Amino acid sequence: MNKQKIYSDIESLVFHNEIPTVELKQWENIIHILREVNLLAACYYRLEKEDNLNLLPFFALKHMKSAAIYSSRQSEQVIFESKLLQKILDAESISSLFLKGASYTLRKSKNSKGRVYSDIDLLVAKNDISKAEKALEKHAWCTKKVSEYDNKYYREWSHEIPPMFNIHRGTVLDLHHNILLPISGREVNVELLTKNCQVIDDKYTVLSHAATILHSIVHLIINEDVSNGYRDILDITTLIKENDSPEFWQEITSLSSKLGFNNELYLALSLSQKYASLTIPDNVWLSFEEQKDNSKLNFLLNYVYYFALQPHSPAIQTLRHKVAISIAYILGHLQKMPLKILIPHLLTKSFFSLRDQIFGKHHFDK
Amino acid sequence: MLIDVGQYLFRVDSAPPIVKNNLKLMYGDAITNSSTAPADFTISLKHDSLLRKFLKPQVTFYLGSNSPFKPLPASQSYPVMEWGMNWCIAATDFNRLIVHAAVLVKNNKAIVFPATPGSGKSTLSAYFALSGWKLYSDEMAIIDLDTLQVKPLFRPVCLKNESISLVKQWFPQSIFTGTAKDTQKGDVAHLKINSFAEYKTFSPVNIVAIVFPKYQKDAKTEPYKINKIAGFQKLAANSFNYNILGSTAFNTIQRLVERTQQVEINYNDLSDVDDLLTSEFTL
Repeated sequence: MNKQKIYSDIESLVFHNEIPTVELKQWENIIHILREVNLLAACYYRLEKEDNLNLLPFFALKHMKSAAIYSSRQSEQVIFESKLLQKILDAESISSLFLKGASYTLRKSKNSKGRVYSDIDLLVAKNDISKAEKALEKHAWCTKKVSEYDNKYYREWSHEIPPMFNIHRGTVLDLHHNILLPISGREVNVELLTKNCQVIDDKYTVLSHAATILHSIVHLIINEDVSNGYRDILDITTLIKENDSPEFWQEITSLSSKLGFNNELYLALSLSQKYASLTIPDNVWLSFEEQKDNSKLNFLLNYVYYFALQPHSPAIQTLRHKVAISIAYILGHLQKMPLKILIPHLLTKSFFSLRDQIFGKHHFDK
Repeated sequence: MLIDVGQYLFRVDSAPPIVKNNLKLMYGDAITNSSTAPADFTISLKHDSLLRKFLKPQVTFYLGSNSPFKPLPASQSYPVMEWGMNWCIAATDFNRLIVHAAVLVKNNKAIVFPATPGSGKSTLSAYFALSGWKLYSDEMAIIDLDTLQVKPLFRPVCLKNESISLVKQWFPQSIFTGTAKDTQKGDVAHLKINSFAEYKTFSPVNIVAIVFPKYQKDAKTEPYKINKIAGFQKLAANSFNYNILGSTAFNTIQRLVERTQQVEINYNDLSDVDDLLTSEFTL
């Protein structure tokens, strides 16, 4: 089967809940790709909601169902961990706010059904971060051992500290004080971002819907690693559909102007339109006059992100995808760091990567 | 290369020739080159790096593009492949309860032997399977959540250390892979029991007992019934996916424990265990 056909079947299934009419054998590629991009469970719940699970061949159903069981266990775990984390930080009077995946689950957003997590993301004020780290250490959360170079990267340049993990349960926690690296020069005014934040179940603080989506967009576009991009676009489109209202559009466009993310918002909305045929109000489109005429931005949209975010699987990847991923990698870095820091950073990273290619990835592990 | 292991179909994308030869030796007529059925997993075993191919070579197991384990010395290639296949099943199948156990069947009744330390599970698997019992699994009991029946898997037995030479001594005709030295489990070799054609005649059966064997030098072979709570705990502790299935696993194990007997057996002679189980459970 040709690569384009496999991809278009995936896109119809993921974004439009359309079950591909293919021979049983062709489901192998589809299921394996969905497993790699962590979307098996999401597809299960989306099809279940439309009462279409019975249209799946048993092979596809069993794999999706199994992933759904796993993801529902994870979401229980997220709720459990959030409760404990909130308690630890409350006891020290540290205000905190749940970001990304954990916030979707805590507020039961539609995209949380079937979503899988690698970690829990928490935002605290910059001058609370070491206090929070110490409080967590008292409750069996440890900082992951990272190389000396990476530790310096986190502590000096990053918007988060090295990941922490719970020694009993292995849950990973990312403690942030901003949503972008200070070194990028685009550090976000956290006060503005969190202005309309909401409190869930009288306990957990999360960003407003508009700010949540804008954060997800910034995280997707200003990132060198786009391997979760397909899942992220599904998050973004699902969240927008769920919150579609004039007030919502007003808030997200105004917030993105104030924080300086109009280009990113334009890219993400255009991508959502391409993949998921998302309807975007005319007045919102009209406000992007400047972006629509920006040929560099449109090149990024049509030739870089559109391909780079598609599942990274040999079954659908062509040279075009690989080139797009490499450009997105460089761009992601460029956007995060000024050149005088980026070049030494990439040289260091490529030295280690070359070293690992020669000696094997774990040769120098301690 | 496609390998049908019974409940799952593996597509081997790439593997060193020695691994492919061992796969052919162990799985024989379960291997095909094409199939109308979709494969559950695409796996490969690859050399790590260019230099490493020649200098202290290492291999890495992949499911698709993910590698769950760190690279291991190439001398352990075949065990790494088998353990990788175990991992694929344990890490992705949450539609049934999967217990780390051997399953042996006689007279259409299954006995599950959970892999408690010192049980000699694999030696017992090999001995029983070559003495008239049907081997449903050496490593994992696949238990249906509704019917509580155990389903057969088509996999070799993984023998370690002294058991390798013991089994070779008991059954000189048996088919073994070469022995991989100094793995994390010591010396390891795999043993083929059935042909796939024979395996195809196996069907899901009821479990009659959960048996916890304990090898003891100079012990007289004697059974002890253990209480249901201890039986429950031991089964739960040996389930690969108890944590993921949550309340479903709890209820399944509870029903299983109520429906079966749980017995501890001290032994030093496997043929006594065979006789004892056969008479105790009218097998």
